[in-house]
Amino acid sequence: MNHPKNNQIIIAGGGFFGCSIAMMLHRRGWHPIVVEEELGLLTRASRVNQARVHGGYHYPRSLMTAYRSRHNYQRFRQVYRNAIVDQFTKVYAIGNYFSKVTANQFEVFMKRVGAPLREASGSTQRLFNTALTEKIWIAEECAFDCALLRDGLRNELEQAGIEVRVGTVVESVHPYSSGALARLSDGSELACKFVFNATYAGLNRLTSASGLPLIPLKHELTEMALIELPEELEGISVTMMCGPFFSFMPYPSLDLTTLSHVRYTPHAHWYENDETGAVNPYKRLGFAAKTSNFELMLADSSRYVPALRNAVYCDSLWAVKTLLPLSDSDDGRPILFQHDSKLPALIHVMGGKIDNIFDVEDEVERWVGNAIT
Amino acid sequence: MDPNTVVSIVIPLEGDAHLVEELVVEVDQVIGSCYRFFEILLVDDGSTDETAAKVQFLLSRIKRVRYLRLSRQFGRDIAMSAGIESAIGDVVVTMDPKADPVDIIPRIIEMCKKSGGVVHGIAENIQPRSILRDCIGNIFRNYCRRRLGVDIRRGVSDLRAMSRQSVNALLQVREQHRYLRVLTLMLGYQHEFFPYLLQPRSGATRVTSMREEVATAIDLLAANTRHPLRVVTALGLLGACLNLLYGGYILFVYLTKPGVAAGWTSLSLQQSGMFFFVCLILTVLSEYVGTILGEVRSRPLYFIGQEANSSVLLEDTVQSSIVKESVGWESSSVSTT
Repeated sequence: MNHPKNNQIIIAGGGFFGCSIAMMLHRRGWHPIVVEEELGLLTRASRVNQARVHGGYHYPRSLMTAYRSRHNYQRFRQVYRNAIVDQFTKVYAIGNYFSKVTANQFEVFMKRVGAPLREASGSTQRLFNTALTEKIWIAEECAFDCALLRDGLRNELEQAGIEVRVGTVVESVHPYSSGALARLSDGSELACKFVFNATYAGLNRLTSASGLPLIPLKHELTEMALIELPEELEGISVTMMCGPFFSFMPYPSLDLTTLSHVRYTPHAHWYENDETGAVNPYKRLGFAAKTSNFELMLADSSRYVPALRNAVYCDSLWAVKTLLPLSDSDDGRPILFQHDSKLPALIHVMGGKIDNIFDVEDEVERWVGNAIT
Repeated sequence: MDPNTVVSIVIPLEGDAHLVEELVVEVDQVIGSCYRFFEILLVDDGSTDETAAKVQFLLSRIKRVRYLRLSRQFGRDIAMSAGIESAIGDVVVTMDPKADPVDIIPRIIEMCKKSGGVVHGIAENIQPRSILRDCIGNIFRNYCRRRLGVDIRRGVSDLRAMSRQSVNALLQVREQHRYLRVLTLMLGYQHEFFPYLLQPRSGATRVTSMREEVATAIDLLAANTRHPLRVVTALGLLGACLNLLYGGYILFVYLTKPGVAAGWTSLSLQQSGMFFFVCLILTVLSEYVGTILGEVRSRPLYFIGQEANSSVLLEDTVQSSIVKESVGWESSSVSTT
């Protein structure tokens, strides 16, 4: 057991949120230690996603979420400009059938939010099946290269001299005189002021092992197909809103394109709360039968964009996507930032969108503040 | 048989809670043994029994089931249209849950893939009807064959397999009247007919009353052909002519015959005059209504069956970009002063 430090903070989880929080704390004079189960940083949820920097177009029914999203978009582009990839045409389209929003509503909403939409050129319009598509626009949205993001964060952590323990898990957290005591899988016990639980899908591994009440969560087993686009679709990315939602976007770190579909990306879902008990979602991911839904994704999306038929399937990315049960009823994707009810020194942080990191910083400022030197 | 074809099975449900479970399990088994990628689309047309509860149970047990519940009862053809619009398959199959067999579906899918058009199921063992109904049915079908240009067969059912290109054509038809048995025929493309035997489930039989059938027939004709209106035009013109002739006859009688009753001439002339105008007005109106019908129609005038372009190897027609003179032929007459 090392001697208690007043300003030591343990961060469970070395994803984008965990590492970013480490930097935020370091800038405020704290001494953070990042603990990550895998052998590298940003390997799980931070890597397996559509790599989209949300431009506010995704929430045409929730003004506040959309507005905030657009605001965060500009900031993210600025702060992480080394990892931004924007040399492609981002097309947004509204479908004719089963759409929860009309083209007109979408346009008006985006104007209100400040998210630009331009008329698409004739050649782009011809890519769409007009019987099924109401309208299309060129939007301003970009992607990020998760490998560059990871390298950038890793360098920052190194330069700041922040300790990173890989291949290690924070197994349990207990109350202690300094705030909390963290037991790690490498046998060490670290006393600290706070513990940040930024383990995304694995949030309840920590709570259940520490005898704390579980956080109600919803998990989805998701698949994203990795494809090579045909020539006619080179440099184009399409997101079809808002009922038959699907999207294909560049995935820069592998130089491929991801295809995701609201109906076929989630293969199954389950809830985790005090009634169901905690189940290690990563174990479940490991054991789950992974039969790709790519053919179905392609069958539906090629109804709207026939050129997709010539896409070449390369692989699929599988991950556990974690959601807050309250977002079942609305579009919003808020971040969970919660002091544990029984152990206030343990702070749970869970967010589904990388570009929302700036909202976390506001909370860190408010609840943790600067280190007492 | 290509197991990689994506197949959609659209099943409209209307008070079918007692048979939906068995049916979906059967479809899942039969289709699943032939195709890797398929979906079972259940469209609930405002059922008021426990259909919804039964389907929720199925959703957690069987993969590839999708459930669409319409906000109220809209009718079988509209429910099937909703399913077809949402289906993702390369081949879309619709069926009647009450009586259509499942084991023949793979065969009609294969037929559909070969032809690239629509395969219509013909039920051979429909309930025998009275001779009168049969007769009227035949007359109607012959009339449709001549006027609509479609080959409606006796016993054509809701069991059909449609290729993706014919579904795409159907999606462009936005008309309110959707009698799919005829609408699918009017799209064009290749049509094949597949005779089969109905196998009613749980003793459920679908009985259509004579009145319903007559109503559907009239709606169909009114929506698709101007021929009855033309008949009205012809009759109107004929009526007008006859009235004119009759008017002439009245005058002739008045001028030549003695002892014509007082007032007969003027009364008859007034009558024939009025009827002449009425007939003429009817004629003109019927033509305009016919034009309105044509303009209001929200379906494309035609559907493209196939497109192909020349692909001829060009030899040596690439011209060098050298010219020998700086002026062309036309400009030799232009003078500058």
